Amino acid sequence: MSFAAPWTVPALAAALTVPPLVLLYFLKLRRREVPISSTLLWLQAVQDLRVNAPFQKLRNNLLLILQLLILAAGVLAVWEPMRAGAGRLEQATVFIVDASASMSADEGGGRTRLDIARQEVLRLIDGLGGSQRAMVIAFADRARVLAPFTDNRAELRRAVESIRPTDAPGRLAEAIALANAHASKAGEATDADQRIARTAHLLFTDGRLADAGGVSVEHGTLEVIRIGRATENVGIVNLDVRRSYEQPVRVTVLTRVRNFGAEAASRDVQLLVDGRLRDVRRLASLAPAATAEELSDPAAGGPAAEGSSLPVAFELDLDTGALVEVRLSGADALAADDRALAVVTPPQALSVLVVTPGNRFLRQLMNALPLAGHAFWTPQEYEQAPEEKLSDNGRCRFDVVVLDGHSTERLPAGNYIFLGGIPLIEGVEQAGRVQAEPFLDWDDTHPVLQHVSVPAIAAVSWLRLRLPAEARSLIESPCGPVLSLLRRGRNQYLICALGLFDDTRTALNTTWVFHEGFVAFMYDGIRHLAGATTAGRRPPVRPGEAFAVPARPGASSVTVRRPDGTSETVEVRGRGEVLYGRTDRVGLYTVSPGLAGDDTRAVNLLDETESLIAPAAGLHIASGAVETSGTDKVTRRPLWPAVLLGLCALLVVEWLVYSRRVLV
Amino acid sequence: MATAVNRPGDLLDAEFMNRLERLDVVSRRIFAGRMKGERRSKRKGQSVEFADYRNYVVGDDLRFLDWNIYGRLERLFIRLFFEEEDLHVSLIVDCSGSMDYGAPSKLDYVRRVAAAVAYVGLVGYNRVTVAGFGGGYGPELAGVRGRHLVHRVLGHLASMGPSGAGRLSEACRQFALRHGQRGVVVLLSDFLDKSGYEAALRYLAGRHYDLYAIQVLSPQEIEPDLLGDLRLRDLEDGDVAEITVTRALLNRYRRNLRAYSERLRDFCTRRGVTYMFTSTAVPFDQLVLNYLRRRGLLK
Repeated sequence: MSFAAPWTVPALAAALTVPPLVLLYFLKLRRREVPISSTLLWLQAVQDLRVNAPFQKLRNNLLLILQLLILAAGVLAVWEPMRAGAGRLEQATVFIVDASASMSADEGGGRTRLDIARQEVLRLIDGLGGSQRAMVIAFADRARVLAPFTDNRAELRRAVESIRPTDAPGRLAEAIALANAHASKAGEATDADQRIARTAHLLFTDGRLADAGGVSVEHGTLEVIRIGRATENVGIVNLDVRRSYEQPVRVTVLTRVRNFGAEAASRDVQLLVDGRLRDVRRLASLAPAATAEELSDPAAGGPAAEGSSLPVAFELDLDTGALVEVRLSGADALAADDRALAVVTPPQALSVLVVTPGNRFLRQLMNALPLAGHAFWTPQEYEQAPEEKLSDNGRCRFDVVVLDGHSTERLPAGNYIFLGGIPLIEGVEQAGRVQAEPFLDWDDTHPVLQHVSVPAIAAVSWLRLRLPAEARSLIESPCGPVLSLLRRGRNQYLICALGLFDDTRTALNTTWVFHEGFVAFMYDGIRHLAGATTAGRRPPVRPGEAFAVPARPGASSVTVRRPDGTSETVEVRGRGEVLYGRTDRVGLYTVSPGLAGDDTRAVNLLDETESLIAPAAGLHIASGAVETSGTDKVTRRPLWPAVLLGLCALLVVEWLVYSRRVLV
Repeated sequence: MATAVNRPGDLLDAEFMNRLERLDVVSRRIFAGRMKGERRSKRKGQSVEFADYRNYVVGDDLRFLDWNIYGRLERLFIRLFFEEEDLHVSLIVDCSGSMDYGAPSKLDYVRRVAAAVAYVGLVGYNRVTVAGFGGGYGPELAGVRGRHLVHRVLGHLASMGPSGAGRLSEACRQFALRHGQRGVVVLLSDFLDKSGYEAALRYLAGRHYDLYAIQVLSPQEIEPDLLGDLRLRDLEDGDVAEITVTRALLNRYRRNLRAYSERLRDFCTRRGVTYMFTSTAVPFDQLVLNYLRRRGLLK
């Protein structure tokens, strides 16, 4: 048991009350004197009532003892006794509250885990002693210090009450780093090393923190208070909406539903287009992910158990842009993953311009690709073409321009594939040719190289390139990048240092053109640059990630309407884009005024770590495993109500004793 | 509390004395008196009431020979008669501090009763003894006989005042030692003695007196008019009891008093003592003329 109030409070209360009580027993009460014939018959009645006798009569005086006990109980209540759990609060305490998506899980009674965490922290704050200091940090994908070290309980309470739920993933490292920084700062300010060494970090979480393994606490101890009990949750873990490349009107919606609970579940998967139900698929049986014990394992959440994760595919025709929503029927603990949205752009057939002095391979390739149209221009025609023929309002009329062995600085906003050439823009330089060497590294996960066997590419030589730092190298050789992707402003450049022909264009520089890998490269490159890889949908955004949206030309600021109905004004950046980063809730974010059809972004959870809501029994951090404990173990619960109850009981007993004496 | 009786004339008025003239003290037993009186004695004597026969021995008064029997049996028998002698009537009056309580005062009340009984005794040519006790035995007026000494007896009673803590058992012991002759003894007291009444009654009962124990209590003792936080002071020994009187406490007190009186009555009954209880609220003339007559002390 500990006490919230300093010892001086009960000492003062005792000093003010106990002596007067004892003194009252020494003093004679003012009673009316009545002569009677004999006290014989009153004797038995009055012999116990002689309370005004001196010291010796105080002995065995039950009434006085009871009243002293009552006073003692009152004094004890004034001292604010607290029943402390295992984690008694230290002089300095850091309350770290997880506000990630899984903390929005419903724990029954309309309370989420975050509500419980807030309540527990508030209770702990109420139990802080006068000399104890605390700070409050809330975190999801980013951490925020809501209250620095202070002993002001009101400030701490306000900070805790200001914690809002988010749908972002939980990242602990930043929160711990902030706590460490503040603990150090507080230590320097107070010159109290002991205090810092005794700083207690109380982490209120369900334990599903992906980056916990890299976290270490520099000062004091870390105690994890496990919040929540719910385990049953079924969520959407993937959503892919694609327009068919061959039939742009045809849209394929691929989604995956996973059961994260310990019990089998069934769900209806609904497909809504612009809010109207278009299709429903029944998932009759989603196998449980694991047993309840296995789910509480901190390492749970690996590959899905057989039958617990099922794909669902929808196909529909959309000849306009639309908002596609996949929704799960039924209710479970976590609502954020029961719904996923995708903004589908209108169908778009690609047009490609090939700038080449003459290339039989490319001509045959273009004819074979399912394009809306393609054109072959010579470099001279390209350079001399009127502006309106090449571009419209600063934007290239062609979705992709393929430049075969031609370097140019005529680059209106658009997508370019350079084969043996470079864009003449700042930071991109060509430093002669080098003999071909074995490739060092390549990124075969990139969409452009997904179906390309890079080691099979044989060449005589390629350009030695110097590219800016933001260029992403897809194929790397000992003497520099061979294939790179560079985004700059509204332009994208896929720069291949490997030309198809030699300088004289009389001999092939590579045999790659004979391989199917080259066809796949060109096909994927054009699709990727033109955005066809994303199949007509806007790039996906996860909670906490920033997205860029083009603003209407001339606008200096736009209003972003958030899923919760609130709005926020954001400045337009120099390139006519709006960058918005406060995507902490899932749903639609709409920019106004924006470009029609490109003014909305969907933010979806699609995070298996957050959807696995079963609280972890422990937390693995860099320094080892940390056991989690329930809230009851650390919460200091006030005992004064019980003490007051005891006081009332004593009062009743005292009254009974008094009455018994009077009644004789 | 001051007594209202300070002079002999305050005890009995003339009219009441006239009514008492017709009464006499009754004894349930036959005692041997000192002088010839108006009462049958255990001694065989010269009264007219035949008692028995016995054989003649030399020296017997020949006047009491029964010649008729001699004629029939030719043996000499002496006729024996009950001798009528005087009766000892003793009055023991409690003059302790506790008797100076109530309205009217218990002491006044018992002095009046004692005066009435003594008057009856004197008028009936009985030998009257009046003894008071308070802190100790006395004052005592013993062996008074004859109507002409009425005023002396009344004066003696009037002079009795409350005096200290009563020592009932000691007073009764002293009385028993001093008065060996049997007779009627009337003990007038409230019997509220902290050392108990048992020893006192045993002393008197052991002398085979025709004993009457009259317990006199005031209405204030029977139905106390007390309530609230009080400091009760004992009039006898100054003992103090601080008490908070509630209705429940009063009920308990009444039960205690009733039980106390019942125990006293039972004690008396077991030892052949006539117990009488009265309140000072009962007019004393009614007590004397009605109640004492009913209980057989007077006739």
